[in-house]
Amino acid sequence: MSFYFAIIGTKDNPLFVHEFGTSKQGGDGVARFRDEARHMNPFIVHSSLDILEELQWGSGSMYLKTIDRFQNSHISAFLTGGNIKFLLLSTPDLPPIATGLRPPASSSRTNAAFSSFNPTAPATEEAIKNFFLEVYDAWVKTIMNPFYRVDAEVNSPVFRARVGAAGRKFL
Amino acid sequence: MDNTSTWSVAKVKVEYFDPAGVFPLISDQLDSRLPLHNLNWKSPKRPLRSIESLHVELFKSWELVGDSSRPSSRQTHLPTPTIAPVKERRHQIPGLRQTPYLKLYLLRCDDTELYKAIHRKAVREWLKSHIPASQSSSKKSTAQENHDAFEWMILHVVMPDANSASEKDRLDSKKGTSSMLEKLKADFNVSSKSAPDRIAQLCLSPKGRDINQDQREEWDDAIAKTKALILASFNLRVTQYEDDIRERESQRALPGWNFCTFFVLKEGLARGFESVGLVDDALAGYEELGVELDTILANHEDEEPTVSFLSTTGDLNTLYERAKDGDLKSDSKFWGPDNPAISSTKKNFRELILANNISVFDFKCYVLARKMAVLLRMSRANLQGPENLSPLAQLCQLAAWSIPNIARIVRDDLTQIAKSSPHDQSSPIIENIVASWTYSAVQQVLDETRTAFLAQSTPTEPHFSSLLKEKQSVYPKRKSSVAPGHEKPVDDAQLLFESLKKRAGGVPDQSSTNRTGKDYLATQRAQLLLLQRRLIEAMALRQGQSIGWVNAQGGEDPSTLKEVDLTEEEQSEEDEEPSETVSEEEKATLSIGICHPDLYNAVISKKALRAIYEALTKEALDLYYISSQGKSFERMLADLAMVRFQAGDYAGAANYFSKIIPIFSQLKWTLIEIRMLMIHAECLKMLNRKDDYARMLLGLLDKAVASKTSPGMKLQSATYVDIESFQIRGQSILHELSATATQLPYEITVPFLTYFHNMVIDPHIKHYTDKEGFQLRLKFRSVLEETIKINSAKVVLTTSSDSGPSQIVLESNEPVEVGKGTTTIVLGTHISTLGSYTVNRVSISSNKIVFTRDLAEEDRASFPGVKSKAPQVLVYPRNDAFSVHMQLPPTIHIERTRDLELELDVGPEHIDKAELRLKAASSGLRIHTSKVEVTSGTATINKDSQGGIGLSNLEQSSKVKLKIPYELDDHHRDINVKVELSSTKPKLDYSSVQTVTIELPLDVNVHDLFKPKHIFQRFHIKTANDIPLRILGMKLHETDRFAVQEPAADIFPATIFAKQPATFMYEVRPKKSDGDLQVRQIANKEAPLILEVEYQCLDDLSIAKILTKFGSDLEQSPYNSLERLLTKFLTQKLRSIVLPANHTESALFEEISVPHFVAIGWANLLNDLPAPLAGELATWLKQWHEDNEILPLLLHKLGSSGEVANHQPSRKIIISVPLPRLQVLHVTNLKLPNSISETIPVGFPITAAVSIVHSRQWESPMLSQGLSETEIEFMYDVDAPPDTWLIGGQRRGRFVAKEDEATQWEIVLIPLRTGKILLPSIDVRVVGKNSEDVSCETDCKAQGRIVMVIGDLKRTNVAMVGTEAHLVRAES
Repeated sequence: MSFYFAIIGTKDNPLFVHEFGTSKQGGDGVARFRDEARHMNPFIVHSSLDILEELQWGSGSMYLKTIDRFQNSHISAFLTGGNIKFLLLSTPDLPPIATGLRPPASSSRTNAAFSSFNPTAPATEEAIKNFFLEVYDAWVKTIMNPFYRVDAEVNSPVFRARVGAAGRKFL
Repeated sequence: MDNTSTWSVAKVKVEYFDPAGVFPLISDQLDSRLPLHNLNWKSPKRPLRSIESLHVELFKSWELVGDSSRPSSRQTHLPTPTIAPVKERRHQIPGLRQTPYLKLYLLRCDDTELYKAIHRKAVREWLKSHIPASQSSSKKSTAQENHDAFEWMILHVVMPDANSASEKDRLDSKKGTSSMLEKLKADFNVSSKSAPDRIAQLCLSPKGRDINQDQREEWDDAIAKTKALILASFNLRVTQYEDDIRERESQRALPGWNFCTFFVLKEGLARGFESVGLVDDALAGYEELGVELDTILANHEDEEPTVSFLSTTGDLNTLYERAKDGDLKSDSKFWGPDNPAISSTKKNFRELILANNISVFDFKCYVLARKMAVLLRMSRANLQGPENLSPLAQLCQLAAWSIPNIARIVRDDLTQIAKSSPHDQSSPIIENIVASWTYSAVQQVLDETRTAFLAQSTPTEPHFSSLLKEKQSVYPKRKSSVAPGHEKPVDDAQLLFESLKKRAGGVPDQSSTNRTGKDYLATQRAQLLLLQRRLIEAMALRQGQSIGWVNAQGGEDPSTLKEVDLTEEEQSEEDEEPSETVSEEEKATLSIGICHPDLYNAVISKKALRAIYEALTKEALDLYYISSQGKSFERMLADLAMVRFQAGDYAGAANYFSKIIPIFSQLKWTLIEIRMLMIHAECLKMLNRKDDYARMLLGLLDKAVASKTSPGMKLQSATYVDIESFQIRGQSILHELSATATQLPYEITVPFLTYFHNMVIDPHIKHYTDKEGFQLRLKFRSVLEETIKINSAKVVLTTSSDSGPSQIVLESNEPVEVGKGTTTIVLGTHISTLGSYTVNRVSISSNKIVFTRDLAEEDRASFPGVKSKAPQVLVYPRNDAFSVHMQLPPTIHIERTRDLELELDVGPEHIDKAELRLKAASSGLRIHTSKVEVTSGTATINKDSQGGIGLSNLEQSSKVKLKIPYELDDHHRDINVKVELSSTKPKLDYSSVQTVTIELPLDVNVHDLFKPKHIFQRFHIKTANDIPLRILGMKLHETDRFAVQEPAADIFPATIFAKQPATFMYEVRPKKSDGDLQVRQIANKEAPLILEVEYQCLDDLSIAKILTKFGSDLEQSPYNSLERLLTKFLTQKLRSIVLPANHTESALFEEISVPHFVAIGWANLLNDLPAPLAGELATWLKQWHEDNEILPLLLHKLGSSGEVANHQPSRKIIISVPLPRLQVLHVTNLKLPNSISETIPVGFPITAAVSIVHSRQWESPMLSQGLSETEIEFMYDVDAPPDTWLIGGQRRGRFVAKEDEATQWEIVLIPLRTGKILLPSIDVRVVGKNSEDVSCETDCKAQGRIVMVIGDLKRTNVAMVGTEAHLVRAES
């Protein structure tokens, strides 16, 4: 699994972006997005904000679970009280494939390679929730910095390290 | 699946039996009351359901059609029985047929008797034959029957002609008919209270007449009964179905339980609901079925199969075989309107299900088709009103989820088929078929859900840009919960709160209520379109090319290009697009199994592929626009831009990119933005828009540098992009930029600091060794990875002081390769000046790109009080540099035109030709440059020079002095002249402002004393500015007519202090010519006397002394090269800090106390010098000041002659002193008699003779001609202090005299006191009419003469007491 985690500000601008891979099941914590697909991640996350904006008024909880999908990527969302959005894009790692006659990605469910990943499984949802909560904790501490203003990018290496740690711990 | 017109309305079947053929008579009225409205169905287990309108399908009981003798023409009047009901085999599993819910008996009977005779029996017969006995009598009926449960009703139709004779008859007949009704009710209605009333009556009105009130009531009654009965039978059926389902459900665990039968049973219920219009319940039923089917399928392999499905689908098998054999026409639609991909009516699915003879694919398709049918029906429940869009949206959503699932089943099926038949597994046939099916299925759903509403609001292409703009402005407003606008801070908590409240308060669940069905539908349709698009993407990928952003390589893959190039050569087509068509063989391979024209086209032609992709994207874009999904909209735009780019439509792509990049850029999605910028740049390159391209590249470089240099950016692995490593068509950005920039018609100015950091200008100048001017070093660090070629560099220095040129431009024109790291560029200028300069602007240019830093602008922009960042450069000339010094000439002739002396110190180079310009910088100053003269040195003045002084042949290291006359209208102490000299060979630009003090340091006054034979002239000399003067010599030159007698004493040099003016007296007497005194000439002919004063100012002297000492010491020191700088500085300081009092002191003590190191303020200067040098120099200067605290100023000892000490040239002032004129000079005398001894006693009268004679020689005879011979009336006055002299006689008197005519008379003088007393003075004035015109002076000879007056005593006794004498007695 590869993860692309983005924190989106109130003006839909990314405040923080982090890529990492799974550390479970022998993963080494390194994201394995295909190079040519890497630039799709911001696109996907950005367009999933549409969905998030619809869903955010629907439930009282901060964790909105999986809200969107694109091909084989799934997006989970977490909404803070300050209308800051945490979005986690998770993509199962692709087996190395020959570009010649690849099975078409006509549907996320048709490819057997991805079938092992179930984004709506309770265990997955719980893991992502824990990850979000841990990040939220770090986030609140970060924005308590008196020099932080709303919608400013977060460059703190400590925060990045914490996000990385949370990723290693839960995902 | 039925065609849309039928399943768009719910229909309930009602069968009527019409033995009398009255149906046509009532059909019009009946039609107007159909469909039935507002049926309320209350089932014990369910909440109240309200059926708003129920469509009823009336058909004639067909069993009796053959029996009845009705003409067939009547059939046309029947409302709906278009399809003759087919007698179905009653199957063990119910719910398959649509049996009537109500059976009507239309009874025509006007006569009671006749009723009793015939009709009652007929009705009974009908009842017996149609209504099972069980139902009519009791509720105990079999389950089987209850599935088809129906009610019956007798409708008594009263013909109008039966009672039209008269009103009475009518009443009778009414009575009769009502009795008929009573009879019918009595006969056929069940007596139980709960039983429904099954009898209704209708009285028909004659043709052409409207129905009256009674009839209307009858109709309402009949309809109400119909409704009740239909509901009753429906209720029965539902109850029975539910019971059955419950029973089957409970048997699920039992062996032999068949899902298929259960399915059909449950579907029966769903169909039942559907038929009465309870589509929600029907849909719920199908949903349950769908889930159950999935569960069954999921458990299919694990458990004991409860159902067996066919492993493959026949249709697919056929298709596969056809495809394999090449029989399939790829470019036509296999699935289309005639053969829908998802259909419930294509086969007799229910039969197949019951027969367990169905494949999973078919089964799932059937369920999906049914669900879709129900949903479509829901959307069109109301035929008249607008479509309900929500079900359509649900339908789309359902399709979006189900179709891919079914596609997987298709693939499994085909794989099964393929296994059995020997065929190449790698062939794309399976995938092609799957893709074709999916594409067709999605297309089918899209077609079915196409609605006019979406089309209305679909934007058209021309309005696209405005739409986008609107988007941009609308979206943040609507979407963001905070106030829009990036500038506006979001601290307005109240606003935030209110906007949140507004959104959250009234709308608890936005997704369901706030969203219109239109939005929802648009979103879902867009999803479907994207699904189709993904198929196209997959097709593209199979062709080895990418389309859209998915898998975008950021450009075309070179390998693909190469490959395609080969094919193009073979085909040798003119097509620009290299990979436009695919070879036949490839085509055949790729397209095998494809059975949709879109997909086929996409495979065989890249152009078509892109066109389809673009069309899909655009449609999705429109839909996202409608559904207000801003971000998805933006993504679609990006895709559009990308596909345009990939298609080679660079103009279109650039157009799109220019619109969407700002969106992503504003949102700070760096990665996306950069990728887009790269592609945009490439578009611009292809479009040959060099200017935009260059700017775009610069922007990219800017970002590259910014991302590299911003702190902490490198840590963010996900956002950090090494932009510089990107390449455009294989070339690096910088290379592209350089290449483009050369072709630009003008220069592009870009900020210097963006690309070059750590800019330092060495503030210490370096002189050239062999020529004028100096160099500066510009150091900076390039943050670009690659080398950039700098063609020229330029630094502009400015100064606010006006002592030199206001701007100095240093340039370097040698190309420099600037790589990563620090670069030093040496810039030079030929300008030589002295002053402190500020770096104003730095620019380096690489071809047409100019990197500029405006330091002056930065300073202006910074806060006031912040120290300027612009480096200060101290510019000073080398020692032997060309310089100009302007001063007053050493000799000044007061009466003549003043001159300025310009001293040119020619530098180390011989100046062939130069032009000197003098500009007056003081008001009223006019410099006569045309009258310039060379006073010393060698130089030639070219008269033909325009506007300036042309000089040529200035020898190197020589001094040339020029004299330039000037005039000054206003009074100034100093005058300023701007001196500019420019020469082309050697290149020289000199500029300075010279200040010359024109005020003379001394004042000279003359006082004249006329004597008969000569004139005494007294010269008073004092200092003009309190600075002591040293008079070295003074000379009054004699003229041809007058001789001058100098003072005898040699008093020079003499020092004059401020409070001690000096007076020098000269005797001037007319020269004798031939023994006679020469008479005066007229004023303008007479040469004046010339006074020449040679002097030195003490300040000049002492400063010169200090400087000489300093200069000579400096020459010995290693700081020789700074001489000009240091000397100039010292001079300025000395001038300003040494006061006149100090000079007075120096003059008195004859030694100079040199101001201290600190007082001079050397530190200011040293600060501007390079540090090591400054330190050493400071030490040296301190030492020098220590050693030279006091300098001797030997004023007198060396000043023996005109050659003066201290090498300071003396200055000379020449004043012409015209000899004064006097018309009348009286010589008076008071002559005491000779008898008067030396002493006279007090009170002794003396007779004195007063003689007055006057001379007119001090005026030229010509002028005084009118006076010389005439007599002038004078008045004399003998004046003495009254306590000294008692004057007897005529003290005052008038007299008339001619020249040299002596007048004499006597007066008596009596001295009044003792002692030496002066004689009275005699003054003579001119009186009379012309007394004003005649000047007159008196030279009184007696003046100053003293007489000794003693007391008139004869005897005096003096007593001596010791040494003191006391007058004891005196006797007169």
